[in-house]
Amino acid sequence: MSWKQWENKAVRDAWNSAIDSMEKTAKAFASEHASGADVSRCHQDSPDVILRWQDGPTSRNLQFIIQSENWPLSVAVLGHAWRDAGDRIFKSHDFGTVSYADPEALASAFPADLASAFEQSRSINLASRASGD
Amino acid sequence: MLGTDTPVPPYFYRYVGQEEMDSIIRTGIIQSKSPHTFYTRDYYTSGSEAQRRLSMVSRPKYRVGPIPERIMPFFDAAPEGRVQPAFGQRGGGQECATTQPLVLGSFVVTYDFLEV
Repeated sequence: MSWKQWENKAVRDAWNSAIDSMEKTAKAFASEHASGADVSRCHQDSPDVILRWQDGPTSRNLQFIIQSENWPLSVAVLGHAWRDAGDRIFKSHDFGTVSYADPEALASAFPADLASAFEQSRSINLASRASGD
Repeated sequence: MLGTDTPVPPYFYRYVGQEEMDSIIRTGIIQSKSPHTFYTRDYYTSGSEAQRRLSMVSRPKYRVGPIPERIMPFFDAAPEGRVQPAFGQRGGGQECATTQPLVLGSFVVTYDFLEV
Protein backbone atom coordinates (compact mmCIF):
# COMPACT_ATOMS: atom_id res chain seq x y z
CA MET A 1 0.00 0.00 0.00
CA SER A 2 1.62 3.22 -1.13
CA TRP A 3 -0.27 5.56 1.19
CA LYS A 4 1.87 4.69 4.20
CA GLN A 5 5.13 4.58 2.26
CA TRP A 6 4.81 8.25 1.31
CA GLU A 7 5.34 9.09 5.00
CA ASN A 8 8.95 7.92 4.84
CA LYS A 9 11.09 10.87 3.71
CA ALA A 10 13.78 8.74 2.08
CA VAL A 11 11.17 6.83 0.08
CA ARG A 12 9.30 10.02 -0.77
CA ASP A 13 12.48 11.74 -1.96
CA ALA A 14 13.49 8.79 -4.15
CA TRP A 15 10.02 8.54 -5.65
CA ASN A 16 9.65 12.27 -6.27
CA SER A 17 13.05 12.47 -7.91
CA ALA A 18 12.20 9.55 -10.22
CA ILE A 19 8.71 10.88 -10.95
CA ASP A 20 10.08 14.35 -11.77
CA SER A 21 12.52 12.79 -14.21
CA MET A 22 9.94 10.50 -15.85
CA GLU A 23 7.37 13.29 -16.09
CA LYS A 24 9.87 15.63 -17.75
CA THR A 25 10.84 12.96 -20.27
CA ALA A 26 7.21 12.05 -20.93
CA LYS A 27 6.30 15.70 -21.57
CA ALA A 28 9.20 16.11 -23.99
CA PHE A 29 8.21 12.87 -25.73
CA ALA A 30 4.57 13.97 -25.93
CA SER A 31 5.40 17.28 -27.54
CA GLU A 32 7.50 15.53 -30.18
CA HIS A 33 5.62 12.29 -30.86
CA ALA A 34 2.13 12.46 -29.41
CA SER A 35 0.54 15.80 -30.12
CA GLY A 36 -2.18 16.65 -27.62
CA ALA A 37 -1.02 14.00 -25.16
CA ASP A 38 -1.49 14.63 -21.47
CA VAL A 39 1.02 13.73 -18.75
CA SER A 40 -0.06 13.33 -15.13
CA ARG A 41 1.42 11.86 -11.97
CA CYS A 42 0.60 10.26 -8.61
CA HIS A 43 -2.83 8.74 -9.14
CA GLN A 44 -4.72 7.39 -6.13
CA ASP A 45 -1.68 7.35 -3.81
CA SER A 46 0.51 5.61 -6.36
CA PRO A 47 4.02 6.76 -7.30
CA ASP A 48 3.37 6.80 -11.02
CA VAL A 49 3.40 8.78 -14.24
CA ILE A 50 0.75 8.39 -16.93
CA LEU A 51 1.04 9.49 -20.55
CA ARG A 52 -2.41 9.59 -22.18
CA TRP A 53 -3.19 10.31 -25.81
CA GLN A 54 -5.91 9.96 -28.40
CA ASP A 55 -5.52 7.57 -31.32
CA GLY A 56 -8.53 8.26 -33.54
CA PRO A 57 -11.61 7.08 -31.63
CA THR A 58 -9.44 5.11 -29.20
CA SER A 59 -7.93 6.57 -26.05
CA ARG A 60 -4.65 5.10 -24.93
CA ASN A 61 -2.32 5.50 -22.00
CA LEU A 62 0.95 4.22 -20.65
CA GLN A 63 1.39 3.98 -16.91
CA PHE A 64 4.80 3.75 -15.23
CA ILE A 65 4.43 2.62 -11.62
CA ILE A 66 7.35 2.63 -9.20
CA GLN A 67 7.44 -0.73 -7.43
CA SER A 68 10.33 -0.37 -4.99
CA GLU A 69 11.15 1.98 -2.13
CA ASN A 70 14.68 2.92 -3.09
CA TRP A 71 17.29 2.78 -5.80
CA PRO A 72 17.61 0.62 -7.77
CA LEU A 73 14.00 1.36 -8.67
CA SER A 74 11.86 -1.14 -10.48
CA VAL A 75 9.11 0.36 -12.59
CA ALA A 76 6.12 -1.59 -13.89
CA VAL A 77 4.83 -0.57 -17.31
CA LEU A 78 1.15 -0.96 -18.14
CA GLY A 79 -0.70 0.06 -21.26
CA HIS A 80 -4.43 0.63 -21.56
CA ALA A 81 -6.68 1.27 -24.52
CA TRP A 82 -10.34 2.17 -24.29
CA ARG A 83 -13.30 3.63 -26.10
CA ASP A 84 -16.25 5.29 -24.44
CA ALA A 85 -19.41 4.48 -26.36
CA GLY A 86 -22.05 4.00 -23.71
CA ASP A 87 -20.23 1.33 -21.74
CA ARG A 88 -16.45 1.55 -21.81
CA ILE A 89 -14.68 -0.92 -24.08
CA PHE A 90 -11.34 -1.53 -22.43
CA LYS A 91 -8.14 -3.56 -22.62
CA SER A 92 -4.98 -3.49 -20.60
CA HIS A 93 -1.57 -4.97 -21.25
CA ASP A 94 1.37 -5.59 -18.92
CA PHE A 95 4.61 -4.60 -20.63
CA GLY A 96 6.72 -5.94 -17.78
CA THR A 97 9.10 -4.26 -15.36
CA VAL A 98 12.26 -2.26 -15.95
CA SER A 99 14.93 -1.47 -13.38
CA TYR A 100 17.06 1.67 -12.96
CA ALA A 101 20.18 1.58 -10.80
CA ASP A 102 20.18 5.29 -9.93
CA PRO A 103 18.81 8.65 -11.09
CA GLU A 104 21.43 8.93 -13.81
CA ALA A 105 20.54 5.52 -15.20
CA LEU A 106 16.87 6.49 -15.20
CA ALA A 107 17.54 9.77 -17.00
CA SER A 108 19.65 7.96 -19.55
CA ALA A 109 17.50 4.88 -20.23
CA PHE A 110 13.95 6.06 -19.67
CA PRO A 111 13.53 7.93 -23.00
CA ALA A 112 14.24 4.75 -24.98
CA ASP A 113 12.07 2.62 -22.66
CA LEU A 114 9.22 5.10 -23.04
CA ALA A 115 9.55 5.17 -26.82
CA SER A 116 9.58 1.38 -26.98
CA ALA A 117 6.53 1.04 -24.72
CA PHE A 118 4.74 3.72 -26.73
CA GLU A 119 5.24 1.75 -29.94
CA GLN A 120 4.13 -1.51 -28.31
CA SER A 121 1.08 0.08 -26.75
CA ARG A 122 -0.23 1.09 -30.15
CA SER A 123 -0.74 -2.60 -30.88
CA ILE A 124 -3.29 -3.03 -28.09
CA ASN A 125 -6.29 -3.91 -30.20
CA LEU A 126 -9.78 -3.23 -28.94
CA ALA A 127 -11.28 -5.35 -31.70
CA SER A 128 -10.29 -8.56 -29.92
CA ARG A 129 -12.06 -9.59 -26.73
CA ALA A 130 -11.94 -6.81 -24.14
CA SER A 131 -10.38 -7.44 -20.75
CA GLY A 132 -11.76 -6.41 -17.39
CA ASP A 133 -15.12 -7.28 -15.92
CA MET B 1 -23.61 7.23 -15.39
CA LEU B 2 -25.33 10.55 -14.84
CA GLY B 3 -27.34 11.96 -17.70
CA THR B 4 -27.09 15.59 -18.64
CA ASP B 5 -30.36 16.42 -16.91
CA THR B 6 -29.45 14.67 -13.67
CA PRO B 7 -28.57 17.11 -10.88
CA VAL B 8 -24.98 16.77 -9.76
CA PRO B 9 -24.91 15.60 -6.13
CA PRO B 10 -23.50 18.38 -3.90
CA TYR B 11 -21.33 15.91 -2.01
CA PHE B 12 -17.96 14.27 -2.34
CA TYR B 13 -16.54 11.01 -1.06
CA ARG B 14 -13.08 9.61 -0.57
CA TYR B 15 -12.41 5.87 -0.67
CA VAL B 16 -9.62 4.82 1.66
CA GLY B 17 -7.79 1.92 3.25
CA GLN B 18 -7.40 1.15 6.95
CA GLU B 19 -4.26 3.24 7.52
CA GLU B 20 -5.73 6.40 6.07
CA MET B 21 -9.02 5.84 7.89
CA ASP B 22 -7.10 5.59 11.17
CA SER B 23 -5.27 8.81 10.30
CA ILE B 24 -8.50 10.69 9.53
CA ILE B 25 -10.02 9.64 12.85
CA ARG B 26 -6.83 10.54 14.72
CA THR B 27 -6.11 13.92 13.09
CA GLY B 28 -9.44 15.20 11.74
CA ILE B 29 -7.68 15.87 8.44
CA ILE B 30 -8.26 14.23 5.10
CA GLN B 31 -5.10 14.30 3.01
CA SER B 32 -3.23 11.69 1.10
CA LYS B 33 0.43 11.25 1.97
CA SER B 34 1.08 11.34 -1.74
CA PRO B 35 1.01 14.76 -3.41
CA HIS B 36 -2.58 14.48 -4.67
CA THR B 37 -5.73 13.65 -2.74
CA PHE B 38 -8.50 12.28 -4.96
CA TYR B 39 -12.22 12.68 -4.33
CA THR B 40 -15.31 11.65 -6.22
CA ARG B 41 -19.02 12.36 -6.29
CA ASP B 42 -19.60 8.64 -6.98
CA TYR B 43 -21.27 6.58 -4.28
CA TYR B 44 -20.22 2.94 -4.14
CA THR B 45 -21.19 0.34 -1.55
CA SER B 46 -18.65 -2.20 -2.80
CA GLY B 47 -14.88 -1.82 -2.45
CA SER B 48 -14.31 -3.85 -5.61
CA GLU B 49 -16.61 -1.59 -7.60
CA ALA B 50 -14.90 1.53 -6.22
CA GLN B 51 -11.49 0.07 -7.09
CA ARG B 52 -12.63 -0.78 -10.62
CA ARG B 53 -14.46 2.47 -11.41
CA LEU B 54 -11.91 4.77 -9.75
CA SER B 55 -8.86 2.83 -11.04
CA MET B 56 -7.41 2.33 -7.59
CA VAL B 57 -4.27 0.32 -6.98
CA SER B 58 -5.90 -1.63 -4.15
CA ARG B 59 -9.41 -2.26 -2.89
CA PRO B 60 -10.57 0.43 -0.44
CA LYS B 61 -12.15 -0.58 2.85
CA TYR B 62 -14.04 2.60 3.70
CA ARG B 63 -16.13 5.29 2.06
CA VAL B 64 -15.58 8.64 3.80
CA GLY B 65 -18.44 11.12 3.38
CA PRO B 66 -20.75 12.55 2.22
CA ILE B 67 -18.64 15.70 2.48
CA PRO B 68 -20.52 18.87 1.48
CA GLU B 69 -19.16 20.66 -1.55
CA ARG B 70 -19.01 23.92 0.40
CA ILE B 71 -16.18 22.69 2.66
CA MET B 72 -14.12 21.05 -0.09
CA PRO B 73 -10.73 22.52 -1.02
CA PHE B 74 -10.08 23.81 -4.55
CA PHE B 75 -9.29 20.99 -6.98
CA ASP B 76 -5.95 22.36 -8.06
CA ALA B 77 -4.39 19.02 -9.05
CA ALA B 78 -7.12 17.69 -11.35
CA PRO B 79 -10.51 19.18 -12.18
CA GLU B 80 -13.57 16.97 -12.15
CA GLY B 81 -13.34 14.47 -14.98
CA ARG B 82 -13.79 10.87 -15.99
CA VAL B 83 -11.37 8.31 -14.56
CA GLN B 84 -8.99 6.80 -17.11
CA PRO B 85 -7.96 3.15 -16.90
CA ALA B 86 -4.96 2.51 -14.65
CA PHE B 87 -3.50 -0.42 -12.70
CA GLY B 88 -5.39 -2.72 -15.09
CA GLN B 89 -8.69 -1.29 -13.80
CA ARG B 90 -11.22 0.05 -16.28
CA GLY B 91 -12.05 3.39 -14.61
CA GLY B 92 -15.04 5.28 -15.95
CA GLY B 93 -16.08 6.84 -12.65
CA GLN B 94 -15.69 10.49 -11.78
CA GLU B 95 -12.74 12.01 -9.96
CA CYS B 96 -11.00 15.23 -9.02
CA ALA B 97 -7.89 15.94 -6.99
CA THR B 98 -6.34 18.55 -4.76
CA THR B 99 -2.99 19.20 -3.16
CA GLN B 100 -4.74 20.81 -0.18
CA PRO B 101 -5.71 19.11 3.08
CA LEU B 102 -9.32 19.05 4.17
CA VAL B 103 -9.38 20.07 7.82
CA LEU B 104 -12.69 18.83 9.18
CA GLY B 105 -12.75 21.14 12.23
CA SER B 106 -16.25 21.08 13.71
CA PHE B 107 -17.66 19.14 10.75
CA VAL B 108 -18.34 15.57 11.78
CA VAL B 109 -17.64 13.34 8.80
CA THR B 110 -19.31 9.98 8.56
CA TYR B 111 -17.79 6.86 7.09
CA ASP B 112 -18.95 3.39 6.15
CA PHE B 113 -17.29 0.05 5.85
CA LEU B 114 -17.49 -1.16 2.26
CA GLU B 115 -18.70 -4.55 1.14
CA VAL B 116 -16.15 -6.59 -0.77
